[in-house]
Amino acid sequence: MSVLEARDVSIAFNGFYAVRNVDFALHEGTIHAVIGPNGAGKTTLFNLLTKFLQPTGGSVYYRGQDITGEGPAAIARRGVVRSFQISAVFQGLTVRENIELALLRRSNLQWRLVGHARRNTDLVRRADEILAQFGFDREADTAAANLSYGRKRVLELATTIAMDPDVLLLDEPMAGLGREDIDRVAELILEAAQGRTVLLVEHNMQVVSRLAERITVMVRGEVLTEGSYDEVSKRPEVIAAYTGGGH
Amino acid sequence: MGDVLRVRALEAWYGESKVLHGMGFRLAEGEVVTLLGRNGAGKTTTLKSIMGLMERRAGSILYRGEELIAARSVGIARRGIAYCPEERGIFASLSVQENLELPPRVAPSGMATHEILELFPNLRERLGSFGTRLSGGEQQMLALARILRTGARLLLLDEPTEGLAPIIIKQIRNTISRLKALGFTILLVEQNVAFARALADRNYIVETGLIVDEIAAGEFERRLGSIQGYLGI
Amino acid sequence: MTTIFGIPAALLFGQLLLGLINGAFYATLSLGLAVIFGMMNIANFAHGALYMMGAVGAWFLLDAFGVGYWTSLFLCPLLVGIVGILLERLILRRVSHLDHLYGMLLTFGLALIIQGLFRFAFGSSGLPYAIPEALSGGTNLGFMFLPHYRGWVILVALVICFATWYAIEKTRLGAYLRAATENPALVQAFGINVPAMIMFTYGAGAALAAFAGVLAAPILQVSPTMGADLLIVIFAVVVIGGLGSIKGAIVAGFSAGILEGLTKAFYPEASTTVVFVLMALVLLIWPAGLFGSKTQSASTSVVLPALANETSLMRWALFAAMALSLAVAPVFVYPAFLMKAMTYALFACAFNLMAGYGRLVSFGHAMFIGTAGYVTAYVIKGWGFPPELAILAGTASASLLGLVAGWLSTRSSGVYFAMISLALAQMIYFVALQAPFTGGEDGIQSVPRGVLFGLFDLSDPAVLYVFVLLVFLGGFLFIAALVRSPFGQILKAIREHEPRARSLGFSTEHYKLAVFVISATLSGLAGSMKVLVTQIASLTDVHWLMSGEVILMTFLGGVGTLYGPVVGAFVVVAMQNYLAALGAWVSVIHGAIFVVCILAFRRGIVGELISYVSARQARSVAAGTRADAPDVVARRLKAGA
Repeated sequence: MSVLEARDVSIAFNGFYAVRNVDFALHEGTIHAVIGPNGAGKTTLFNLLTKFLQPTGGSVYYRGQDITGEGPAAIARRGVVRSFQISAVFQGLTVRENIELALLRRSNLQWRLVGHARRNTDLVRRADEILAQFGFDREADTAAANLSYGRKRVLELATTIAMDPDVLLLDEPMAGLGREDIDRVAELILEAAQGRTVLLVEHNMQVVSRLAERITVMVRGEVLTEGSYDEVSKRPEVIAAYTGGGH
Repeated sequence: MGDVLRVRALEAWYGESKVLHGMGFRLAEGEVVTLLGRNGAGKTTTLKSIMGLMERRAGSILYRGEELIAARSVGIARRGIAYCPEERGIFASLSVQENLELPPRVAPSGMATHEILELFPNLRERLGSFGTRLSGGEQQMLALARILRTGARLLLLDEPTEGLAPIIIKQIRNTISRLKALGFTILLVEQNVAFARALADRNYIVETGLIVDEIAAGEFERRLGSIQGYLGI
Repeated sequence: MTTIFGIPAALLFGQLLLGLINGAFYATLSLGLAVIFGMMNIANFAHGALYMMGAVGAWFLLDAFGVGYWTSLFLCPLLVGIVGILLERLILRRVSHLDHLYGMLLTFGLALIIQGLFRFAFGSSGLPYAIPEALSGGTNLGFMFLPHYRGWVILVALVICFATWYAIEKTRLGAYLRAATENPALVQAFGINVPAMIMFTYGAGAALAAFAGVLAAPILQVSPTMGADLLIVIFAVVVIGGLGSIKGAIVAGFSAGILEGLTKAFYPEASTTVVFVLMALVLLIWPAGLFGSKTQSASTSVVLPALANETSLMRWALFAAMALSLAVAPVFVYPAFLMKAMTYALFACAFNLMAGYGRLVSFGHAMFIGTAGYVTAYVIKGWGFPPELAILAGTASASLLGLVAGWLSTRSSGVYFAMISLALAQMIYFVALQAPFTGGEDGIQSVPRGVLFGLFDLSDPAVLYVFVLLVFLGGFLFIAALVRSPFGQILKAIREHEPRARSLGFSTEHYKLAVFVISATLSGLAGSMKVLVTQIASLTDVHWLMSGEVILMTFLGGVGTLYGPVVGAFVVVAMQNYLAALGAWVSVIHGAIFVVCILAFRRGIVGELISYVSARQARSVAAGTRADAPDVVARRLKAGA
């Protein structure tokens, strides 16, 4: 069954189509990657699925329900949570506060005007678990701004997981990471994918081949082809798109 | 002497995070040189640093023997370096003609509008339309055409093939070949291996803000495997 | 006599002509604002002052040197243009790399200084300026009489508007300007000197304002305050037209003038508010204005100062120290001064909640303190409400107003938000000026204090003092708790990275509206208390100067710190008390503090103190714990202390 689906979606900026007539379905329980050269419209598709952009044509469905008219916050509350290409952590908050924030959204405390979140023992316990899971125990009270770039990406992933999402959308989770970090983050993604559906945009083909069960190749705002890594990587049109067409 | 550009120990930062960790490379007169590498390796940042568009940079950038590390971008452009950014930078509120004629002449050798239109014939009929009404390919042509007016002899081109159809890429390749024949020195940032192979005299591989390898045109075939490895293809 | 819709035709045409004249000034001035905004991303609060400089300058040139109208028409814009260039080069440029908010605050300070200096030099009464001889007299058009000078103003304004539009849309220089508006860094990388362009653009905008000023001199009251009130209408016009849009400025300028003229003919009572009502309606339908495209202005993150390793013991100790010193202070200082300062401190804390923690810097917060004040005063005097109910009514009125104003304005941010809030507040000002129950210029005076809960007689100074102290401390504690609450954390997160907050499922617009309403409510509480203390509700409380004052208090004390607004409020109120004798100089001093504060210590008194202490702590800890020190002392941006 498809969890998240785009039917014939397009978006044009000033007459220029960044995504054009794309049909795309994300199936329950899979890890699915969208690949393609720069400018292919991968991130735009992401923004359309999470409604950070409103499509100029077509519809988006979540478990068969039309969500084309909903805003990003409403989509997130349905359990479709995304990360950003450029690391998006709350710099001025501590690591723990970043995690707590995600947990707050799922608690009934978000409109509490007085009193401290930390009085809620469930929330604190859950935050501790996530901190431990992602190896943040010693950095819990560090301001996120002071983390290294790689750790920030991990923190963003941790915050996203803290939301306990149904669908996880990761926009280039490996961008800017060194080799060691890449392996660690890949492990974390595999772990997080247990019982969830994951969609990722990624450039690093080793990562894609290792993680993704299904791959969609986009070029110039359109879907070129879709299949498993082995199928897709052998198709001549994909090789052409990646190496630039000319010979 | 003879080097148009000589970059040494170049470092650059975005806020607190360091992106370039000591880049070093050179360009001789009339050469086309590419910087190849994955996303986030620091290729674009290198071009931006040369153009003086990074808030914080250190090291040495010698342009025809003159140190530019402390120069401002206005002055760098006036010395004859032109930059074509990755996102093309076509101004939406300007017509094609205005876009084309925007960069001021910095040297007398700049091409006249009619000469430029001979190189890019498909821009001629679109002169009156607004910048963002163009297709991706036309925008890229315009971005390239625009900097030829200035008379700059060193061109910094950031991924001119990004997101374009093979037929357009071919056109751009032909254009850059012609520019090379006209004697321009070109520093090209690319991810498109075929494109680099067709044009470059030399290729530098960039990884995590450093040059990790240099591959001359003649070695390209033999080392194709390792190039693809570097790029993660 | 001919009538149209029951109005004599001559009156209607006369008002239409007046409207067209006003429209001509609106268009010319909003044009300059639009050009400056396009290049610098700031709403130029000094625009009214520059306009005034043109008019008063023309008067002065004639009075002192016998320089006539025609020469002034060229000389004044030239001189004011040079002043503009100097202001940009010497002052505004220093903050151009920071959040544009600071540039805006600087122009606000500069406006206060210029206006104050001119009031000192020329007094505040109107200065007469004759219509130039060549343009005196008029022509009877059959359906109405057209004075030549008025026809000239309209004609010149149309020419100027067209010329500016042409220069920007059709010339090469205009292409530079448009390109630099879109992407200054790239234009710079083409070898075009953008900073110089910005400087001359500001100069040109200033010259345009001065030109309008000279044009206005023969027909409008020439006085040092003539620019300030006009400016706010201009802001509304710019919001209607769409921020940064040249076409929008011209179209909205003339339409607003004509609409005003028509309203004067049909329903004069509403003529001062009609532009603001139009603005609210336009915003409801097109949040970016008629021709605008953006409602958000880019802003960079301002890091809030905060103490490392702050404990709850420290927090309570600090609070207890403040409470205690305020409790014993009446022994040493006038209680009246202390009570006034406490109400202002509560007001500033409420403002800071929004500006510091929500990053919504309102330029119209006076509407909440003022409205609550009027309502409180009215229900006590008119309906005989006891003080507790009167406070409740006043505070509730501010909440309600906050809900409406917040709903209209929180969809925007940055400069746009500031202008909308200012315009909405001005609308409230005009309502207060004209509504039957506010007492107009006199306000509502000698409001009895009454007996609180039927037990505590507030006319007893000691009882009143204790009551004010308790309300202030209560409000302060509430804000302190709010900042640390889950809600406060979410606010902070939105302030840091709004898209990420949305992607975590927070409906950020609801939180922004909520903090706006809370801030309005607390401001209202301060307004009600102020009426009990001063026994008067008057126009000064709803005037834009009051909105400026609360910004000054907050930024001077330290925006985004808990105690900053309190310190700022005490300093500013003390200054007002002791400097009152200086008259016009007070506004100059206010302006100068603004400028110095923004240029030299942006974090404010408390903010700088915190940074200093944090740095010292960091150094001593770093010395003690070697390598892992940065993690240990990593500035915990707890927004406390």
